[in-house]
Amino acid sequence: MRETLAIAGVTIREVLRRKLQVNLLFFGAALVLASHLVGSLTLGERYRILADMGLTSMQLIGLLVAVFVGSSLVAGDMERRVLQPVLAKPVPRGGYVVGRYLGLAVVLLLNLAVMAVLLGLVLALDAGGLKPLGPPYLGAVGLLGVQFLVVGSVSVLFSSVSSATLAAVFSMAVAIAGQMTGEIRALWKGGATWIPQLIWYLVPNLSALNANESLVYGTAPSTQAWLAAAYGLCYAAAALALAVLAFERRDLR
Amino acid sequence: MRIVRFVQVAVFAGLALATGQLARRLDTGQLRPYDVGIVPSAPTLRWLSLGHPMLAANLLWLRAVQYIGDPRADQRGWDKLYPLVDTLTELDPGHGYAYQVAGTLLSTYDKVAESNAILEKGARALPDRYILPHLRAFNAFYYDDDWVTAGKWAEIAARSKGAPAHARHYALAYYVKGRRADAAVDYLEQILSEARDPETRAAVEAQLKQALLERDAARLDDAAGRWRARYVIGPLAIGQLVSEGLVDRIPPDPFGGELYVDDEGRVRSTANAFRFSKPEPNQVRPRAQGDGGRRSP
Repeated sequence: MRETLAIAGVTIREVLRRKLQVNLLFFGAALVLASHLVGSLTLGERYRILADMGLTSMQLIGLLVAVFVGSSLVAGDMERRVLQPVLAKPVPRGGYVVGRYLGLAVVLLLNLAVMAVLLGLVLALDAGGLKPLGPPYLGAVGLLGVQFLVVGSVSVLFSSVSSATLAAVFSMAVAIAGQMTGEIRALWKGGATWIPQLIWYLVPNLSALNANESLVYGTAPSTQAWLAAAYGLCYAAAALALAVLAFERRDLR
Repeated sequence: MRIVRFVQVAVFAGLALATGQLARRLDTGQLRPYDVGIVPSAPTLRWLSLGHPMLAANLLWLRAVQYIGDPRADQRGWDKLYPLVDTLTELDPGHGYAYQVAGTLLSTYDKVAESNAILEKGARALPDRYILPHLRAFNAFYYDDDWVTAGKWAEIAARSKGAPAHARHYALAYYVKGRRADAAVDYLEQILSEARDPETRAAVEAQLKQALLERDAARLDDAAGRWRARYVIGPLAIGQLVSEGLVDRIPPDPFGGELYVDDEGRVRSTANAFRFSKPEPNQVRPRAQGDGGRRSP
């Protein structure tokens, strides 16, 4: 356990120093602030534009960090040949993967917190008070956090079984497909074949973790949203368990 | 060496000139009023938005705002406003302000059928948004001269959660002017049965009395009209309508006074002189550029 936490600590420091992470976070902050300008273009309904664009910007940046940083964590260590010296020490392979993921998860949540504070400031300034920062806002940010954890775990899974580039491509494809699960469900309900049904269960249902509507209309997260959060955490844990299983069996020579 | 430098400068100057020429051509595009080429269908946008239909709706809304706000919009026309707002409200049916703005503008620019369609869609999607059926009622009486339809929509508006108290008065007025005071009576009786607080009850009771007066007085107005057709003037007393066999009886004045026929042949109450005026036939001005055929005041 101590080794795992040590690896998580190293991962946090390593990721926070990466140019990609810093640039994306900076870009995310700029996008969130830009939603303030975009909001000024609308005719009425300013809050709707600010909230929707701001939250989507946070999601975009968070998912990009989860995909690109997450896919390079394990596979990058293998490509740079720094994995073997680590595993030569009394560190179990499973502990190594979990530690890498925990480090990534902390960074993703830190990024989310920074962007959430910025968006909160924009919304509060626009409303002239703290009213927009109630349960709908906190719920939307919380669900976004779960979404990042899910995509992060998928990236670490692919990173554990393939190269960094392939892992990034696969993770990005899963992240995009996960946003469209609502449409896939519609196909399935339309009496299509078993394929959409299979995709529905395999691909993480990220669309259930989008709370833009609840934020825009100021409704507190529903029971379904909490169910989706529990589902997301289970999915992330399952993907991580699969990553550990796959990495335990991987030939590192 | 000099020749090489000369060639480099010449190439740079040529490219700069070409870029400038192209930039000037780009400017000509901006001289046209802002227009929307193609409005993709809602299902297409739903897929393209990668699970973010609300974001797609908001981006469409920003385009609609550009489209609406162009000062030269009259030169361009308003053909794309309905498809834009129809699509964005398919993606986000809760966008109440989009229905409201499009409903108002489309009717103003001579697209009353499209305005009605978007307002009716909005009223179905957002039953608590009072303004949408209210605007639909306005279209019905103002553009279509259809007072009964106006009354029906005003009734829907008055029943919505956020409706102001005076919304009932619109429904009453439209029904009366559409010669359907009986519908107003039914509606107000139902509202009265549901009213719990004394203030609302008092207000509805007053409106119900007016509706009853209008219903009974309309029948007596017709009888007085037939009297005047026979005798040119009068009747001097309202009871003459009974003695002449034009009505069975004179109903009681809902306000507690007496009914009488005024000099213009309209039946009124001694306790409440107010009657809704009869609707004028629709007078639509010839359509000028940018003027949606508004009725003259």
